[in-house]
Amino acid sequence: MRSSVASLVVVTCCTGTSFAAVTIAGRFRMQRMQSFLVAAGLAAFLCGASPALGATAPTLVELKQFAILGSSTVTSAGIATIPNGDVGVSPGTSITGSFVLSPGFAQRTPLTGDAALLISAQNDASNASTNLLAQGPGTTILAQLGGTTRTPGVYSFTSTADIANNNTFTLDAGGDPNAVWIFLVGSAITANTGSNVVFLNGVGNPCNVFWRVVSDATLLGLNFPGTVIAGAGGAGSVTVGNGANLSGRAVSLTAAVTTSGTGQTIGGCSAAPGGGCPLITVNPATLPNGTIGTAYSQTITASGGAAPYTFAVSSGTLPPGLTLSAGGLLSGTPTTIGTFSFTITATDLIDCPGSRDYTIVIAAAGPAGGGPAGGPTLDSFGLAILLVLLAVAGVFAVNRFTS
Amino acid sequence: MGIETPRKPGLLFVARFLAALIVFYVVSALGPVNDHVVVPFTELVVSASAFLLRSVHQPIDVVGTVIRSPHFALDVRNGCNGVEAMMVLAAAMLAFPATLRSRLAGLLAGSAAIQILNLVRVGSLVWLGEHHREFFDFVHVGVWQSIVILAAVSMFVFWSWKFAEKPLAARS
Repeated sequence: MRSSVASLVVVTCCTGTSFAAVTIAGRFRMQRMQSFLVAAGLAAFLCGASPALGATAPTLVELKQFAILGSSTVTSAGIATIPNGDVGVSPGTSITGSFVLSPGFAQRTPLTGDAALLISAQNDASNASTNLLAQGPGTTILAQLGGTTRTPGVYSFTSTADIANNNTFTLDAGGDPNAVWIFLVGSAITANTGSNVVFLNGVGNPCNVFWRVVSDATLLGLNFPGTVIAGAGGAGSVTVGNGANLSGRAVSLTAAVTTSGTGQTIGGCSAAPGGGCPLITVNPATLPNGTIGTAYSQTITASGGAAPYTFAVSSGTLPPGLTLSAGGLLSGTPTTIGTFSFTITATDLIDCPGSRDYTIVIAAAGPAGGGPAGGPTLDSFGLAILLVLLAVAGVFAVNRFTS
Repeated sequence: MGIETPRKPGLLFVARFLAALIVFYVVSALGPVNDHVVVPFTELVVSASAFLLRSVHQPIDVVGTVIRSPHFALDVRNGCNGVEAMMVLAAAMLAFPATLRSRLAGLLAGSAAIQILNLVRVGSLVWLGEHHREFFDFVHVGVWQSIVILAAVSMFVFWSWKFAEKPLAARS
């Protein structure tokens, strides 16, 4: 082989992404083999350094109904709002301060007759911690999360984790509303005042974010999503600061859960006791029909559950050209004529679903984008002209031949 | 029909022309005629147009009287099948003094020409709608109507001068 040979090595990484390494080999087989090995090695190296490994949400069982679960004490210094979930403590028995609970949820201690439930919940928290650790170490990242973006996966910190004052840490779900993030913090985590943890483009479920913290978790920022399990390696408490919003749950395996200041919102990921779901209604009741080649846009909404909702097509097929975003925007430009039936399911923050069936008729486009174009051979004006011309031609011809 | 020697041949031609037109329109508007002649004929036009388009590798689908391409559809309704243009031309030929043979020849040739023209027209409009929709209205209303009108008038003039001329000339 005298000419250069290009070897294309495609390696599918464990994260599902692909890396292609192209090498130009020389004239001889040995050189080509060497190039192949170099390319394969390079691909393997890059895959090994890929940012995330697959993460799976642990099963929370009894823990799922708690927004706050402390070990020694649970204390609210001011007024904390718990939008969805119980407040519990075990084996301690002290819950002090003011927690505003949603209907159907309660404060639970071993003294309220919930000892067995609380023990189970603490065991489930411990099991979840073990499960999270077993999925590690994943990708080891630097302590400072502020200003960074992470895709779904398992991440480890050798020691502490931190989000600096007024910094934003972004979680990029890559469009997957069911994406899962697991963070294994080797020591303590601090989300400082004014910090913010957000989902890129709003896609992502706080209930699918998990923080296993060996010691303390101090959450003073504006928004912090996920289930925080502190004290996983010894004494460790959870402190939620003034006005902070923890969209998930605060759990301490070994110490206290405390709110400092006031105005916190903690919870939103807990199923109602017994695992029941509210009736979630998807709207609108019907969708307008579309026209091929004409932009189509409708917003699907949901109500009755815990916002935010994630929307997906659960059965059937959307008209080709249309897509449904996780946020509920059905949009695009239809490319195919026909009748399309499908079901859109909305899932709320705690995975409670609601759905509605839809049918959209995509009509053919006429010249003005309406229905099928008509195509009369002659319109009234054209017909009149033809009549007159034929009459005139006929009269001339007749007169000519008879004159 | 024989050959006439009218006193006011021009007026008589116009009267016959209009009378024939009225008869054609009334007959074509009758329900049974529409259902069993016009509609099947329209569907035949649709099929033939679709065949024409497929022969030039256009992806065409036919549903009833609608020709669908991937991004455009044309509904070939009653007025789109060339029948009206055929009726007008036929009325003129029947009204014109000529032998039966000349009339039959004219009717057959004229109708065939109009229909061939209409097939090309429908096919070109579907192609335009799919590929250059911005020109559809102009070509549909402006270009093709003019072509059909000119073709019909030209055929009538040609026929009346070349075929109807001899019997009239011989008689006069």
